[in-house]
Amino acid sequence: MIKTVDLNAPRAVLIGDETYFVVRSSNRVYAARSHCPHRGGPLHLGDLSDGAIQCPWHGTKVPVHYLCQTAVPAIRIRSSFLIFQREGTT
Amino acid sequence: MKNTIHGRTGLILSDFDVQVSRFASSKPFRSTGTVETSSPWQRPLRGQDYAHGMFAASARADELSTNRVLLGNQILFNSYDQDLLYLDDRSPADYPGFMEFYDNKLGAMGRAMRPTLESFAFSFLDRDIDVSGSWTSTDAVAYMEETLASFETSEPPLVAALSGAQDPRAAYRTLIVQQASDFLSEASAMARALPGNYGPAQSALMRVLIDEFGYGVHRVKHSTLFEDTMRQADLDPMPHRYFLYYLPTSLMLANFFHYVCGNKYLWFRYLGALLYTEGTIPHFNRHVSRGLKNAFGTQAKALTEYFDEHVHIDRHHRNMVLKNLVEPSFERYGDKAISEVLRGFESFRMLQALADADLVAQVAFGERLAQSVGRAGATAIAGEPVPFVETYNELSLPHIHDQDELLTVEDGELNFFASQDGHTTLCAGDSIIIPHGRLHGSQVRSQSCRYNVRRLQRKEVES
Repeated sequence: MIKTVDLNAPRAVLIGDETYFVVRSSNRVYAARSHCPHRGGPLHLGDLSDGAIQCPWHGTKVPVHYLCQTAVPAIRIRSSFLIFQREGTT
Repeated sequence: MKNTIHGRTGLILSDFDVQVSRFASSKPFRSTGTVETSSPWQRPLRGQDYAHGMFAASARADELSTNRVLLGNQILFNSYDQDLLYLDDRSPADYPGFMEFYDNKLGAMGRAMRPTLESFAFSFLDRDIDVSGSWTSTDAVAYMEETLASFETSEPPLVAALSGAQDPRAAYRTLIVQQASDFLSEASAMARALPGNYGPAQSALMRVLIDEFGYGVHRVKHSTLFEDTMRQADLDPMPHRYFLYYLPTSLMLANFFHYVCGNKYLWFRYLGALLYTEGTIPHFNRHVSRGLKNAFGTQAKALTEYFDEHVHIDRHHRNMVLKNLVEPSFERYGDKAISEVLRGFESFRMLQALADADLVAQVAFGERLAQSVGRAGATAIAGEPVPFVETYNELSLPHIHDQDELLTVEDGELNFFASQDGHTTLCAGDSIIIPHGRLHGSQVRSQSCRYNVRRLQRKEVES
């Protein structure tokens, strides 16, 4: 399933049962799962500081580079961001 | 890079500037005084429009319908075409023209400019498209198949616009003229991707090429079928007779395939672009075929055989490209191939969408030419008039303004045109608004003609 997100609009998007959010790093854009590896907290609501996003639930700091490495398939086309969700992943 | 001081202006010109000027002023690229060329080796350029450093900053997606993008792509197109052989039964007398177009030094000059022009024309695709995340080959194939399937869920917007035009016949003729930039030498860019030794993929591509070239049977070669379409539409199938009517975005579609086929490091992008085009053509052509029959009021096979053939064969080609070229590349070359194929797929999708929108706007401009003519002074705020005096038959080669302009004829008569069918006559006192981004040209029809052009506020005009 392909979901198109406007990069000028809200940074989180629900695809199926999964929430994704937009992470920017080194002038690139990634689609990261909003799921804290600690207890599944909503990372898209966390604050960004020192290259990490702090989960609002328990304060776990998740490095941006980790989120980029584990990002889901996506393609940015100008200001549109196409996130691809594999079948059976929700 | 060496610099040269220009004798007349004192400007410091780079080697590239000098090459562009020499190339554009060489004989095959000079105006012959007619808007439709009389041999495949005449490709007039408005060399006078070239300004120092004009192609230094790369084009942006939102400025493709501009004069610098037009000129850059015309030069690139002509340079690529010097690698293709064109012979026309009706032009043997122009043997000198043939020799001049294929002159070795002129060809070398074009080839030397290509890297700069290709960067100018296509590097926006690198900026505007980015593939991120962890793609598997299964993801990439599913993504592309879903994209192609969604294209087939509705009538292509371009076809809807052409069929809904005031004069659908003229609108479809404009489509055919634009397609002639590519289809009269169909698959010639693909042929550039074949030489070498790259395993089973090479043979797979050869099988696609064989179909494009009609298995050696000239009557069913795809470019021959397209020539038949042109004749049925009362258009001349001589290669690039309508060169001066090609829109910048039409040239970009043709140039893009030369760019990705000629530069071997872009091989995987080529595969993505090829899959997109082979995958969308059956649906697009089915609608075009229907639209053509309605617009021309005939079921003549020759009118639509080119399009009907592709409805059939490109279903096979889509499958052949996916199964025999794309998927084996994913298997052999992994992540890098996946990312590049997706980039090529999206690059051509973007170019095609931009070209379709440009063509719709040009058709609309051509259709409202006659209604756009008014009496001088009927329109609002304008800048200082820039005067022109031209003599009988003087041709202003088609070009594009970056701002809306108001043209007013003071004396004499001018044929003003936007396409092969979109012509109107302007007489003394007549004015016409030329929207930014729209290709247009003119030719004097009286002993002499005096006219002026003024810049308008952009908000006043819809392009």
